[in-house]
This record gives sequence, C-alpha cells and structure tokens, in this order.
Amino acid sequence: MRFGKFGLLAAGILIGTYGVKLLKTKEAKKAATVAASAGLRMKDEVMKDIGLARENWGDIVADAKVMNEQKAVEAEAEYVAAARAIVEEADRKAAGAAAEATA
Amino acid sequence: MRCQILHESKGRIRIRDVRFRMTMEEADKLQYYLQGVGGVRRVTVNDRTRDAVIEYTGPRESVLDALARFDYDTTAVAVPEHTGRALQREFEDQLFFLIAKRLLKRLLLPADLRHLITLLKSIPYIVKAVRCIRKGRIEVSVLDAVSIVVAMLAGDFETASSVMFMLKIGELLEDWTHKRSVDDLAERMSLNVDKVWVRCGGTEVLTPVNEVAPGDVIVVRAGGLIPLDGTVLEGEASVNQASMTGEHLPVRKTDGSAVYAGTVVDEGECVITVTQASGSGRYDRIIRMIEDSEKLKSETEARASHLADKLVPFSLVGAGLAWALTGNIAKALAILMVDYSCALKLAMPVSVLSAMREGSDHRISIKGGKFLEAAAEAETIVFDKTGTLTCAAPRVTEVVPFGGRDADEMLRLAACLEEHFPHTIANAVVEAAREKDLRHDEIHSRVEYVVAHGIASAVGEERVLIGSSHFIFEDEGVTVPEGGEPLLDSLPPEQSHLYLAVGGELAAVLCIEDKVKEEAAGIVAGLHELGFSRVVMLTGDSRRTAAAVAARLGIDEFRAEVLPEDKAAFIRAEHEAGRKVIMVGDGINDAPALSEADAGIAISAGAAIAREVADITITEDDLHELLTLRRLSAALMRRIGFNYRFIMGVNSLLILLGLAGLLPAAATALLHNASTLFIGLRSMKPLLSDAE
Repeated sequence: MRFGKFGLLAAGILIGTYGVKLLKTKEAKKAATVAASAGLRMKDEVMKDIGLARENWGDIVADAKVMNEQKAVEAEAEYVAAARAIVEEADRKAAGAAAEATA
Repeated sequence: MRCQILHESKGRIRIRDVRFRMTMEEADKLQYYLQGVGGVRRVTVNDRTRDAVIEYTGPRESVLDALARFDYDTTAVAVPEHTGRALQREFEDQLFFLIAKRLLKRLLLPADLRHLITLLKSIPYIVKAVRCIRKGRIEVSVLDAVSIVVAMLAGDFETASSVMFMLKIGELLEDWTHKRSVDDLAERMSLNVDKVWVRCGGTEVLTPVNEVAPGDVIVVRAGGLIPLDGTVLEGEASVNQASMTGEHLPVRKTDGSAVYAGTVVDEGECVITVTQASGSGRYDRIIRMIEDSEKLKSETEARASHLADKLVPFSLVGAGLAWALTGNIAKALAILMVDYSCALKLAMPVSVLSAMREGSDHRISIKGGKFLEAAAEAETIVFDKTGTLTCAAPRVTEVVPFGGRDADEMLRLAACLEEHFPHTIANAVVEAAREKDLRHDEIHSRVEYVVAHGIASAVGEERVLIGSSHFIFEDEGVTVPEGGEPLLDSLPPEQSHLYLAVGGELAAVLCIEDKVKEEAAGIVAGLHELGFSRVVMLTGDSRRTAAAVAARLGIDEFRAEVLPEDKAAFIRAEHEAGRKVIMVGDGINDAPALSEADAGIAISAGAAIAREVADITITEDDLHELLTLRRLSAALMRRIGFNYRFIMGVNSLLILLGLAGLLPAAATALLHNASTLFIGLRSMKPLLSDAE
C-alpha cells in the first residue's frame, strides 16, 4: 500500500470534515453542474453515434442484399442462355438429321 | 414534414428530419403514423439521430407522399399511452453509465482507492449470501459471494471487481429484456378499445369504453367484460374476478356491490353505475395481468433455474478440492469463476420472453412460457367449429316466417334480442337486420341468456324465445302453427337453423350459413404435418353436418351436438389418455374447455370471457397463426435445448481447463462471461425466419 494505513485514515478525516464543506459552496455546485451537463451531453453524443453506426450498417446490409439479388439474376440469365443454346443446338442437329433423312 | 433521403435501396428507405432536434414523443408519433401507412412493413424511428428507416412493400410514391403530408402538430395519430421508447432510453442510459463509470474509475482512480471501493461494493453480495446460507440453502448468490471473496483474499481485486461488474450487467440486461417484452405486450393490448352498452333515457346504446364518464349507467351481461370500476345499481350476477384476485370462483354481486374493471360476468346480468372513467389504471392493469401470468413459468424454465442452484455445491466442492490438492488458489478461483447459473438464468427467461414478443409480432398474444411449452408438446388440437374453422361472420341467408307473420318483423325482433350477446351467430342476426335497414328499438323487457341454448325475454305480455331446436321444442315445449310442419321439414338441411318463438308458438326460422374458412383444410393438413396426431372438431351442429365438414377438412375425429360441459369433459378424457391438448374456441360456452386445456387459444373477436380464460389469443381472420404458433413454440424448445447443452458444455470445459491449470482465473472468467453474453444475445434473436 502506497499511502499506508495512516495516510488513508488522514485522508478520510480530511474528506469527512472539510470535503463536505467544500462541496457545499456555490462554486463547487456550479462546477458539479457543468461536469454533469458535460457528462450527459457526452452520453447523448455516444448514444447518437451508436445509433448512426447501426443505421449505416443497416444501409450496408440492405445494399448487400440488393447486390446479391442482382448477381443471382445475372447468373440465372446466363444459365438460361446457356441452356437455351444447348437446346437450340440440339434442335438444329435434329432438323439437319431430318433433312438428311428426307433427302 | 421536411426530410432528407439519406439512403435508398429496394423496399427500404432511410430519411432524416431536417429540424435541429426531435423529441421522443415526436419520434413515437412519426413511428405510429408511418406504421399505419398502407404498404409499409416496418418502421424504426430514432429520435437521437432524427432518422426513420422505413421498409415497405407498396409503391415508393405512397411512402414519400405520406411523409410529405405528415405534420407533427396537426396530423392525428393514435399513439398508445405507453410506448417502449422511454423505457428503452432509461436502460440504455443505465448501461452507458455503468460502463462509463467503470472505464473512468480504471483511468482516473489510484489502485488502492479502487480496491477500497471493490471491498465496499462486495458487502451487499456477502450479506445476501449469508442470508441464503442461514435459510439452509446453497444457491447461486452463495457462489457469487464466494468467488468475490476468494478473489479478494487472493489479492486479485481486479477480478473481484469485474465479477461484480458482469453480474450487474447481467442483471440489467435481464431486467431490460424482461420489462421490454412485458411493455411491448401491454402496448399492443392497450390499443384495443372495447365497447359497452350504456343506458340512456330508457334505451341502450353501444359506446366505446373511453367515452364513458363517471356516473353513466352501463349494462353488462353474461360473458361480457366489465370495462370500468363501478357499483351495481340493479340486477344480480356472478362475476369472475380472477384477473383481479387470482381467485377462480365467481363472486355473487347484487345491488350496491362494487365491481372492478377487467372482471368478467360469468352468469346473469347487472346494471352498473360507473365510478371511474377509463384511462387511469388500464395500462397498469394490463401490466399486472402479464406479470401475474408470467409467474406461470414454463417447466423447462423452472427446471433450468433449479438446476443452476443445484450445481452450486458442486462448483464449491470442486474449487475446494482443487485448492486442497494443488494448494493453488488461482486454480480454485478459475473454477469458481465459472458458474452455470448466470447463463442458465439469463438465457432461459430471455428465450421465453423473446418468443412471446415474437408471437405478438405475429399478432399472437401469449400469457406465459408454460403455454408455449404446451403448444410445442401437444398431440391433440381441439376446435370449436363456429367462429374458428368457419368464418368469423356467418350470414343469415333466409328468414322463414310461420303463422302468417312478416319476415322482416321477425328478423327485427330476433336482432333486438340477439344484439346483447357476444356470439358469432348473434352477430350474424344483428348484421342481417342492419343490412335490411331494420331499426330495432328496445321493445322487450329484461333478456335472459341460457348458455348454449338460447335467449328468453318478453315483449308486452308475450314470452319470446330464440335458440336451438332442442331449446325451443323440447325444453320450452313450443308448438308449430297449424299447417307449418311441411314448411319446417323443407328447410335446407346444410345450414344451421335458429328458431324464434312468440307466445309459445313458432314464429320464424332463421337459416344461417356458417361457411367453412377457405384455408381451413390446408391448416388441418399443416397441423398434421407439424406433429399433431389428433385434430378434433366439437360442434353443436347435427351429426350429419358435422360429418360432412369433418370429411371435407380432413379432421380425424368429431363430436356433434355437444354441450359446453361436454367440451371440457372431452378434454379431460384426452388428459386421462395421457395426451396434452390445445383447445381453440371463441364463445362463452368454450370457456370451461379453454381453461381445462393445457393451452387454451381464443379468437380475439370472441367473447371477453373466452379471451380472459384463454392462455393464448390469436386474431380472427387468420388460422395460419396456429401453424406459426406451433413452429414458434417448437423452435423455442429447440433453442432451450441448445442453450442447455451449450451452457453445460462450455462451462464444464472451462472448469476442466481451469483445473488442469491451462487457463488462469482471469481467462476462465472472461470466457465464461463472453459465452454467457453470447448465449443471452443469441436467445433474443427471432426464432422464425421471415420466410416462415
């Protein structure tokens, strides 16, 4: 212990007798008010920033969802196009074979 | 309202009010206004950021249009008396200060002073533990105190202080989620305004409860909710005061007795002079009701907290052994730091409450965790047919007069009698009269309700009866006018019939079509799929009609021509066969069965007494909620199971690691707390995904 027992005791007595008197002065009250108001303002600022961060995160998630949906749509279109090409190719071959058969 | 669009994507928009600041009241107003706009799915308004996030499915223009039209001062919006906002703010602030204080202390105060504060703060924990031991119990509070004291004895004040800090945070979070769930539920419930019959100048007028002033005279009949405090002026009734006193035996009320808001008339009727207008106390009453119902903790929940207490001695012994064997107090501490209780005690109630809240998002209000458990485990679901499987609004298709009477006059008379009783068939008659523009001034004397049979009253000297064929012909011995029999026999058999008799003679038959809900067959199939082995229908209809409906809907079993007491008896029989039962009903006559069942589900449009005794309430227009309820409760049970295994597994592992000396006390404490927080937060997440 850095203070030692006596140090603590002395500090306690001092705070007990003069600390209370000091706190009762107008200046101390004023200072406390200023500090409290700063504290409350800080709380509001922090909470506001948390709110903003959350909303921004919501924006990002919403955009991400849209992006994924878009990608899925594009991929689907590609897939459909590829499938169509295969079917058309097969049709063409079948038509060719039919033409040969009749010829 | 002037606002700025901050972000936009498909079906979602974020706007900011351009003014300098926004009050909480304004935020609430904007939120409720936007929620009422067509096509809007979900809205969150944050008064601190002045932002509103709107998710919508309708056209974008209508949302923007609604925003443009909004004005804080002039737009009328129905905002409930209490919204969760102030409560939420209060807790956020508490959490902020709790954390800020700890950070400040660590930064500014010298270590010695901090230790002194820790020492002082530990006193309440020690006192609590000593009290607990004095009662001969070793519970969680003992373990908390022991770990704090041991840590301090070992000179590790930091750990002692962080244990207390985590305990406080846990307490606050638990309190918060709890209050928030209760508040949400109450908020939704207080938005429904009931109507009541007010007697003025010899007639009775249906009036919204909030317009009734002290001194007004109201009339409440069997099955009706007494909406306001008052004294009985005339009449005699037995009143169920369970919502006030918890006592289920009805109390007899006569002239001069005091009656209380929220109680229900079981039998008889009474005329009441109102002593206190609505508003004051209504919200508090709802809160009290929910809190009462919460005492009905689910078995699983109760088991979890008992288990938490039961594990305490093992932790203590384990720590003692570790110390005795190794002589290393740090190892003992590592074991003490891990207690199963925080996690079990936090995660279980949070899971249940968030499930209740999720239910109310789906417009299902649940009165306690116990009923969710019953809903998950039940094998039998019993429906009362009218109003649940059939449309909420049956229609009168035809009025067949007898003895040369006028059809419209008969309908007028029937409506006049039926309008006093909360029953779906009665509503149909009143509606039919209204459609034909038949005014019905009260010409009859006192009306008397014979449960499940009919209504009796008198017009002039003549006795007027309305009700089932059993009631009219067998109980009351009514005769059919001469030449009326062929007509009586030719009535369409597929419809329900309501018989009206005047002066002991049949006067008319009202044919009522009780159409089965379109989705009913799908719902029955869905219920089977979700694990109900028996779907049962009870109805007062004839056997033939019931059989046809049951076959069409795929119902496993039905009982026709049942009386209310039979319904409850049926459920008792199921219980005796060892099955858990859910009962779905809406009328006065369902009340005994609803309270007999493991979980009674009432339709919100039904009689007040049904809602009062029911454990779960769903809205009238959507039976899909039954499926949602089952899924929700099953998911809750799964989550509870997971929580259980997770908590036991992780913490046991931590103890082993601590014992093996692989982890120091600080690390086990941190991991333990982190896992507790994780499981708590996870338990708050919605159980059902959007797709369901």
